[in-house]
Amino acid sequence: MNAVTVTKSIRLLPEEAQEVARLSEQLAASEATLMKQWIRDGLRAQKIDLALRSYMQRQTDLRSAATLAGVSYNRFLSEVQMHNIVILPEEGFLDRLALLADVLNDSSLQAAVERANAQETGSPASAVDRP
Amino acid sequence: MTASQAEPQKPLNLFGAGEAHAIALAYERSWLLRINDARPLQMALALGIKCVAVPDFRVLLYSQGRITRPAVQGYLRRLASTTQPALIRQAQRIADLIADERGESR
Repeated sequence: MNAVTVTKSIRLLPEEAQEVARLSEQLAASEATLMKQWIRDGLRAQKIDLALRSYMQRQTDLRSAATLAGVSYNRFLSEVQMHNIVILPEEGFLDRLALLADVLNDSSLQAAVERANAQETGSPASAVDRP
Repeated sequence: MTASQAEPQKPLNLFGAGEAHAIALAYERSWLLRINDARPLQMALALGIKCVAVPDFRVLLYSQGRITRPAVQGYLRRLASTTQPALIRQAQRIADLIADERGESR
């Protein structure tokens, strides 16, 4: 049984149309088949992209983002890894920096972290000895 | 010995091979670990390893005078496409505070 389809038309520049024709010849596939495939690929990529953005902004978790992208959890996880997406907990950022400042005896960093912490809590930053 | 020559005695069987080896090495040798993925980072922190992630590292380089303010801003901008916006904002804020302290703000 044939699925019901709808027709969508687009307008291309002459050079774009020529390129489609050239590829159609090189790949031995009709222009319609190729364009349909590209639209499917593009839709898939766009959905993954939107899901990645949503995941990065913590609007969704991994599993919901995978559903949004229309792919499996494992596939979405590999997309996250492929895009080198870093989802680090921001709550630990100042603590990590404070630790680094301490380990490396970096008074400039230490002062900046204290000021940032003070701005967050609304309390004045303590004085830091300068070398 | 450099990290590229070092092998951990007991590599973990978790995460990717690179992360597993890096965590095991940092644990065994009390090294500072630069890692950039939330799950291995949390595991490393739970093991008591001192960790630094990429945004932290950029701020650290600026704080230590290894890179300039435009460089740290550029690095953080480039990280923005792959890093949680809130984390980038925090890193920019710390870099701004350091710049203020040094009189490098516009």
